Amino acid sequence: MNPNNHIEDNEDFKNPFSFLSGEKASEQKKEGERFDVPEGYFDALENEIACSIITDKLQISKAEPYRVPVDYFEWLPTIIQERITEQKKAAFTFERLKALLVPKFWIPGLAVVVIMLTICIRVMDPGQAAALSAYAAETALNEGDKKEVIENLELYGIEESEIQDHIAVSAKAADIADISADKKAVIDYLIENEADLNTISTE
Amino acid sequence: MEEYTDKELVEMFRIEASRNTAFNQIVRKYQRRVYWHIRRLVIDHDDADDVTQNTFIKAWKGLDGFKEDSQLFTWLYRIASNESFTFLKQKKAKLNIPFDDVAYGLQISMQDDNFFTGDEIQKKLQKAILTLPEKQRIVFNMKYFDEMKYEQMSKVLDTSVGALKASYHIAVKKIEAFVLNGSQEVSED
Repeated sequence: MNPNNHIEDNEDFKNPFSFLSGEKASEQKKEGERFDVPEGYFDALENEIACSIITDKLQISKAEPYRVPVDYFEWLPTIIQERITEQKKAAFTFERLKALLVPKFWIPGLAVVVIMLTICIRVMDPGQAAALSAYAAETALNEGDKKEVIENLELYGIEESEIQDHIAVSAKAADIADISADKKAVIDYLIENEADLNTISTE
Repeated sequence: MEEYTDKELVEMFRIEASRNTAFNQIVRKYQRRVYWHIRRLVIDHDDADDVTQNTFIKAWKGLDGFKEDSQLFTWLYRIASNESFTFLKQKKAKLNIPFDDVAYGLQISMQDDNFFTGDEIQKKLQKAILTLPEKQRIVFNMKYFDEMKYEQMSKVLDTSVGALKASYHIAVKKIEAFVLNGSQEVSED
């Protein structure tokens, strides 16, 4: 026994996990390369084991438990195409509106907006409305003007007969009003004196 | 009808004259896989129908910008997953309920669904799947029903392969516990 051959000198003792080191691992890898497996083999195996827990151990079928309406997959592409067509139409309208905002339309568009705004401001201006009222008051006929109109009928193109008719109608209405007033005075007198028309006439 | 590869279909889509034909073929090629992927997440057929339509409409809008370094079907799955999660979030917000109750609501939908034809044990499996958190549920469905590879799932869900493996493992354990014991209490260590 070599007294110098201490156990501490043994590489495996020094590093019991040396198989994890690069050198050893690469050696193992080289060893493994001789027995290659198909790509994705371990993934598939892992999945198979996990699935077998459910399908075999629990006796559950992997078949789809849901159904769809009859011919659903025959109609679905058509429905999707219809919806896309609708969206394309909507997008087309939006695009046309957006096209109006491109620079070549800016100047005429801006001019139209300015004109419209000017018109609106003029119409909506309260000062303008007040000026219109003042003009109306100023141009209204006063008594002097009316007299002038009557005196110069020919000047204003009014027929004399029309004026005469108007005066006649007005006078008749005034007479009726006077008669009514007289009658009322007689009735009041009779009531006050507790008399009637027959007594007065015999007296 | 002539069968085109995904690459050919995408190229045809980029030409105005063949755009509709190409897209129609894409829909016909992938509609079943996309629909079932969505259906397993939202359960109800009408909801799945809406989400499937929205998925393909989004695909139509985005196909011009589709980068061919990823697979077309992986890309469609990604849109479908996002649309399904958005739908479930909206449903949750609309009803103002916590997610657990959404899962319960989905279980009720499943029970009331005239289109559910599975036997009792399948019903129990579906209920067990519905008790899983969203991410685990989608991972489980993609691996178990669609038999997708982890690398593909990684591209769809933007998650590392390791995380997906762990997620699937936990999901299987939870489902096993639920089906055997009616509980899903599994240590996630």
